[in-house]
Formats: sequence, C-alpha cells, structure tokens
Amino acid sequence: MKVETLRFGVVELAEKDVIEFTQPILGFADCTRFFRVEIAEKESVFWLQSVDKPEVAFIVMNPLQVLPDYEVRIVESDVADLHLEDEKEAEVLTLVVVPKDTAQVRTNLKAPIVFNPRLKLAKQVVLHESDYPIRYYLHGVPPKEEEVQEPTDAGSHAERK
Amino acid sequence: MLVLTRKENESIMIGDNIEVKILDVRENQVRVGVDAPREVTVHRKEIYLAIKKENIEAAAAARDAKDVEKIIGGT
Repeated sequence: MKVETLRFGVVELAEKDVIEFTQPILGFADCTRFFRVEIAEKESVFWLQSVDKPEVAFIVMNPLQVLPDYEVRIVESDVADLHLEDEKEAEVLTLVVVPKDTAQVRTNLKAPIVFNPRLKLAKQVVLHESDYPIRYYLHGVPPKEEEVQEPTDAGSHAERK
Repeated sequence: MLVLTRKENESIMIGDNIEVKILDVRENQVRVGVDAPREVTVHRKEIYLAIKKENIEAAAAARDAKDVEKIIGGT
C-alpha cells in the first residue's frame, strides 16, 4: 500500500509492517495505524508515522538507553489486549518531545507505549502506580515553563474484568 | 450532571459492564474502585489531560523538528 506522509513523502508500505494501536495514543483517536521509520545510524530512536494522517508522526525511543532501571509493569488486561504470550515479549517505547529549545528534549515515562513486535499491536499505557514523570528531561534541564501537575496519592487502580 | 448519593461499599452501574464502587470515605478523600471491561480506559482526569497535552505537543514538535538524529545524540 502507498501511504502519504508529510515528512517522508509517499511511502510504499507492506501490510505486515503496519502497527495497530488497540487503544489510540491519547489525543489521537483517529490515528490507530502507524509504521516505523528508522533514523539513520540509530537503533533506539525512530519515528512512528501515522498511516491515517500524513501530518501525524511521533519520535519514539527505547527509554532503557537513558534510564537502564526504567521498569514497566504490564498489567494483565494489557497483556491480554496486546495478545502477549509473555510480558517479556513486549517492547517498551516512550514518546519524545523535541522542542525548539533542544536542550529541553524530553520523554514521557509515565505513559509509555507497549508494543507486541510479533503481532504488531501497540497501546499507550498509563503507569498509575508509578512516580515516573510525564516530562523526563534527557539533558536534565530544569523546565522553564509551568510544571505538569501530578497528584501524589497512590493506591487507586482499576480492576479489570 | 447526574448526582447520586452513595455510602461506603455501595456502587453505581454505568451501563451493564462498568461498576464504580465507593471503597472508603475520609475527610476530604474518597477511594473509588472501578471495574470496567478492558476496552474502557480509566484514568485520573488530571493525568489523562496532562498526557493528552504532552502527546499533542510531541506530535506538534515532531512536525517542526529538524536534525532529530543530532538532537537525541548518544542514545
């Protein structure tokens, strides 16, 4: 199939390379299909380009490259939703924000993307129980803009049927 | 907005599949249990809004980003 994109022009894409989001990335309800575009000489950073909307593309990274201890506990309902045979099968990616002031490049550790590479299924999950920030600054630059408010109470969670 | 009064351990059903249960009531805090099917996502609203905002910023910034490979160096 031919896919029109703003950044990469018209791309010839094989069906098998389409990544289907079982839940859309929050704020992008009409973009459920994406594909991976590699960045030269980088393995841990790449693009997720929308199939449905030419102008929608995200930069994603493997967060373990900057935070080797980063831990995502994938809940049972997500294991089922993504048809993971095993939690270890999942790849975890995080969305990167590259603002104009590139010293403030940051990634969202609170809401990573969990990816099943075997079935090409993905979803953005929210780590309700964790203290990971929505804005983790890769270069440790303190933010000048207003802070994102995060509640400190822990312990509530949804139980799934 | 529909307003209902509930006591501890009482629930509200939303449709046939979603149960919202009041678990614990303290002075100015209420613990709520949500039992919902897998396809229904449940978030604290302020977290939901913050993540949505950050996602939209990620896409907007990505649209303008140049030389991404240089910016995220060393990874």
